[in-house]
Amino acid sequence: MFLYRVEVTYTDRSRAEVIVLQESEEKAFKSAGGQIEHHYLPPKKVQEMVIVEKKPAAAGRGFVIDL
Amino acid sequence: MPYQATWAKTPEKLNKTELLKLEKDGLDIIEDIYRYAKTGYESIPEDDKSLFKWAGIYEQRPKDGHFMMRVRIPSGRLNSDQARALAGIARDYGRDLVDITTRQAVQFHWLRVEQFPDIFDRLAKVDLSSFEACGDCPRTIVGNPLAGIDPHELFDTTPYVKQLSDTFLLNRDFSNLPRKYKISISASIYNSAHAEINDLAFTPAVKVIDGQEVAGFHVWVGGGLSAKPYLAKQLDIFVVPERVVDVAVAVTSIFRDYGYREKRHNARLKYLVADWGPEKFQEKLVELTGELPSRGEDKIIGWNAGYFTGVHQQKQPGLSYVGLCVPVGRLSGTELEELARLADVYGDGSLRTCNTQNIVIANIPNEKVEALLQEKLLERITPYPKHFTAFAVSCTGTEFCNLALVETKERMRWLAEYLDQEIELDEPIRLHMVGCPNSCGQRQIADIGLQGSLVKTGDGMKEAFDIYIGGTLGPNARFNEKLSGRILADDLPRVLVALIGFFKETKERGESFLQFVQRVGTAAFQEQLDAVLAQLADAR
Ligand code: SF4
Repeated sequence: MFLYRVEVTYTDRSRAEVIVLQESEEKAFKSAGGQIEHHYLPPKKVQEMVIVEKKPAAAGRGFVIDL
Repeated sequence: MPYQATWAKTPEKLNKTELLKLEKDGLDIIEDIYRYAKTGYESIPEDDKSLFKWAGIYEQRPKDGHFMMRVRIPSGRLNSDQARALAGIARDYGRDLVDITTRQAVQFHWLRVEQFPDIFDRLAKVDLSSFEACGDCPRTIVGNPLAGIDPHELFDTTPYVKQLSDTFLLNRDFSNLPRKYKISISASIYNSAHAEINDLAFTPAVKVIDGQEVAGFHVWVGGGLSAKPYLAKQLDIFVVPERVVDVAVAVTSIFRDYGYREKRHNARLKYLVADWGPEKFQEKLVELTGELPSRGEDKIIGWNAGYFTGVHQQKQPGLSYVGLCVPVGRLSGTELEELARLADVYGDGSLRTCNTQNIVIANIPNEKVEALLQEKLLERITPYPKHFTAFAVSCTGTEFCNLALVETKERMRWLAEYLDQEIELDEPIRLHMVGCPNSCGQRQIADIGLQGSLVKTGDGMKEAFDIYIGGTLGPNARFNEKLSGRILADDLPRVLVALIGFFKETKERGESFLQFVQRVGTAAFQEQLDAVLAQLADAR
């Protein structure tokens, strides 16, 4: 399992970073898409989704997102 | 006297790896590996696998029982017997593959645990070691590959490299540091050991002491790349060569005793140096070493970026060294064996690995150089490489690395070859490609750095890159800056041709890529990138 850091740009030019726990890159994209769907109402349209980093998952692992 | 692990008193403030290291020193794994060689891969517990690093071993991708091994080559000094031993290991166990790393080490792939006892034995017979090539300990000592033969060195650093290596290798006083720890030492006035990106670096300096000019070192602490790059800070001290080991031991002790062990991602020495500042760090250092003279005169006047390709005169009259380009650091064991033969036939068996992933044959009498240049091997591993191939560096990438997002090595090799066909240039452009932010391929110090990512597109998942421009070390050291806009891997050739073409058409005579970036600014490159990305989007 890996922790994936996914950078997302929406069609309205706003951006987000989504962190997901998954076993492969394909599944990480799918999970990130799912998280995004749940998160926004009304829904936002994704323009670009990019995995920029992955780390082996373990207790205490994470990413810092600069705001 | 053995040290006290003071951090053990507050286990609640230690990360999981630290707790593991308190139970079992990383070096204990070496004996266990002999046992696992008999009991097999399946018998290795996960915790022990993570300690394999202290033996210089990592599991390679995918985790199916194959391993990568890194061998320390302090300052890149290799004799022909050692080269033959390395070649033999690659041939017999490692699918004939040898990679030279950006810290002058050599890496094998495809190894299995049953083979390690024989490999350790073969290495020991020629005075080489993989131990502590990885792990939370002092790694191989990086140095000037030309130490002892360099017309541009203040003095020969070979003895000090050896003293440092002998002091730290398998020394249990320093085998449990908070994190990896990298030392560099060089007396080259062109900073060929990349001082600013090491945890501890010694660089050439002079100082008048008691009316006499003394040659020695300045000291830098806290440098490192990875996801949070940081340039080392120079201390206000001058170190005579005889005290290099004392100072290194003191700096390393400070790291061991005061370095951060709560979170692994801020455990490198750079975090302590950033918190304390160089002044406080120096106060602590002097408590351990006693008074040291203040800084003298810095002797570094530029940065050669670690490149030595071509035929060059040594400081010894009548002798030359020949710097050979190993494209992206990869060669076969068979080629390494042939290099050993050439080093014996034409020189005195001396080879040197470079932090640019290249190799040097040293000590060749001038009258033998011409014959060496006619050798078949030098058609591929050549002293006269094409422009981009000559200055291309790459990390391992998805081929073997578990953290990689994209393929790098073969792509960088191909891309450099492509650019060599497309563009002719007078000035070198150093291209570095990495497969993730950890930056083993030193993306931050490249003229043009390429960092991989994965993009989800309508056609599925695609490899892509971010572009960074304008990195350098030496005087005015700075990391490169990111351009915004992600480039699909398939578009990289076109984008690079556009950006480099812009440099070629607009630069002034004799202007280097770095000088050009400093003059026109990153914004000018951003405009070019935006334009070419817009063209690519229109064409889709
Ligand atoms: S930079 Fe990343 S992808 Fe490349 S070898 Fe290092 S960890 Fe692996």
